[in-house]
Amino acid sequence: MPRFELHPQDIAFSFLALLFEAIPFLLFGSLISGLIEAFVPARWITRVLPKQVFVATVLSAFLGLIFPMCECGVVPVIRRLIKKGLPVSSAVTYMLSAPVINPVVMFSTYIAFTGRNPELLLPEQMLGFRVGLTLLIAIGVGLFVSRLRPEQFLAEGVLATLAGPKRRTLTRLSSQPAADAPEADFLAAEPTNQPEALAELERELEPGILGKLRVALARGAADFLDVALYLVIGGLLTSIFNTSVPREALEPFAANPWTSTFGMMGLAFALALCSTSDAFVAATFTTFPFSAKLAFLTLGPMLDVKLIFLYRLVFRPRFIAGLALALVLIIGLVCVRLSAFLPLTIP
Amino acid sequence: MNHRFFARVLPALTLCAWSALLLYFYFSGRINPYVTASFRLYCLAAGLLLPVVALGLVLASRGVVVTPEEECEPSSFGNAASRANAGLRGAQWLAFLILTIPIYAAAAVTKDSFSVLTIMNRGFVEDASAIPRSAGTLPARAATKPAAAPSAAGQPTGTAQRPMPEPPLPTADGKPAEADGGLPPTERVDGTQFMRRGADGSIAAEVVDFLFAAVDDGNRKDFEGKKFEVVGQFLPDKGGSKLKFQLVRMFMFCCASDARPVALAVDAPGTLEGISEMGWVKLTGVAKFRAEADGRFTPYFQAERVTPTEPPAETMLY
Repeated sequence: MPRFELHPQDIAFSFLALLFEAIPFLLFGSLISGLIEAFVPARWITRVLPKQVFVATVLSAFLGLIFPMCECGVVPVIRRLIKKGLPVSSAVTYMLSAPVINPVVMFSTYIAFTGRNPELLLPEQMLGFRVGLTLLIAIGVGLFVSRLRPEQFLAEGVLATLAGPKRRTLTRLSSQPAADAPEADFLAAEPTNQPEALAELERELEPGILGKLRVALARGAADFLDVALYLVIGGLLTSIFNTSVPREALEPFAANPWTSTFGMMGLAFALALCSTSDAFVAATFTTFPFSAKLAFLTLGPMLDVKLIFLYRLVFRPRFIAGLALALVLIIGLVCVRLSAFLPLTIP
Repeated sequence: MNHRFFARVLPALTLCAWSALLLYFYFSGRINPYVTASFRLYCLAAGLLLPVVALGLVLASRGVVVTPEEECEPSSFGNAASRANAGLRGAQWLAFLILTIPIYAAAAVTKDSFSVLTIMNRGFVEDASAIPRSAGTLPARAATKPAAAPSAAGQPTGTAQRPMPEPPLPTADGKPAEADGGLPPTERVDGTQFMRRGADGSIAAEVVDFLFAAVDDGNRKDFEGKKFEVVGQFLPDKGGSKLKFQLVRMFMFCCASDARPVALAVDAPGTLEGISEMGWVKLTGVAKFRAEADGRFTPYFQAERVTPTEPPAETMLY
């Protein structure tokens, strides 16, 4: 009979497995972050992005198709991009969408739901709903964030790099977000042009290819260690839950659309699975309705135990709490609503 | 402890410690039950790359590692120099300890497998469609394609049955027409003939193969009554029967963290002695399928011989 019981050997096994799965991608993301820092001029980012906040945000939701990232690796990348002057609305949208809107995850979602009760649920339906809901939420959150002032949600460390004398100049000179965006107001409030300072900084950051590579490695290392610290803490908490709580304890939640949807979201939060494999795990919950699985697959890549810690590197705790609450409520309510009128919600 | 130590050496040491762990697990083979084969390669790459990154950190010039505007940025090591400047060396040591002690402690404590408790907690996978077909050794069956010969290497070819001919149209008086012999007879190829054989000629299968066979009429017929050998972990019957047990294999999608057990019900040849719970056993016996009331089939194994064995090279299926 399944029991709640802590088992240190199993926790250690699950914890190491989680780290071994995440570390390569975390390192990959951190090195990309370092390369962005060393090789991508800040002005280039805003030059290629549309000026309209709405268009830029929508486009950012699809960036994962070109630059696929998992939810662990994307955090250091967007932190660096924000420091480089990417509008935070675009960064947040990319952060929330990239773990799902990428070829690997879309393919694994399709495969995971292939061959099960085709008369009730086709794999392309699950894929379509997952992609659609993720896009809607990522874009919605991004647009909402564009209405906020950066100091309302960005962590002090990120704000400090934006407001520092050199970075402030670089950011303001190179980035030209939409004029009506509060971000623009925030940046515009900084001191006026300092071309000398900009040139000095660019000289400092462009010491030849080898020098740039050293910059990339050093920045990548720093980002990796920052994120790894939170991964260790989050991974440990996840492993405790993952090995100690019996799955049978969740079965009573399956019968009701409310409990099944919010129960599966709680599970996604606690298990902190990689988005490349979560569809296979969701598919094994055969007694849970479609809407609950959709909630699991939509929330998991956006919010889980380890991500809460990782988000601390970019956002203020109050914003993270608000984001978490909003994601849970929006995804939960949408999925419960879906369960009410879609015939394919029959388990 | 000078500024350079906290800014570069300590972070570089942390990276090297992680690299050492990854490389140790990879080259010792201990990594096998933790992640799937493709993820092992990623771990190897990360293990090799981390010292390079550490070197880059040590060699980077001070102006590059910490720019003035980052001095007040809260982080663990990214602004290590700033912390040193701010007198936060204790926090840096704490970060170093958090990043090293848990992973090395976990490596020392773990037995590289789950206990019965966790396996039971995770619940058995009973639905074959929850497992990717690549997990087993059973050749995939494509009923709409013509039969194909096995590959030269003797590997499964993925096809084993020709399409069923359409039934003849009814005659003018409405009576069903007889199936004439004009159509080519259905050519079926037994999928098990492409599976590896054991020393005594029995078919070597994985636990998941029986689940796959149960949901496919053709495969089930191929399996039914044939002699197989299969390796797994011994889990005593929940009801306490000495003549029944379950043969368990863990199946993982990416890593052990998402692994779930797959079980095959076994009828023992007699009372079993000297086999420990979750000990590895090799069974030889006959595959059977029980028809359930809802039309499904449940596989079970009539064991003729149960012998303790060494764990396979891959203790996890994936």
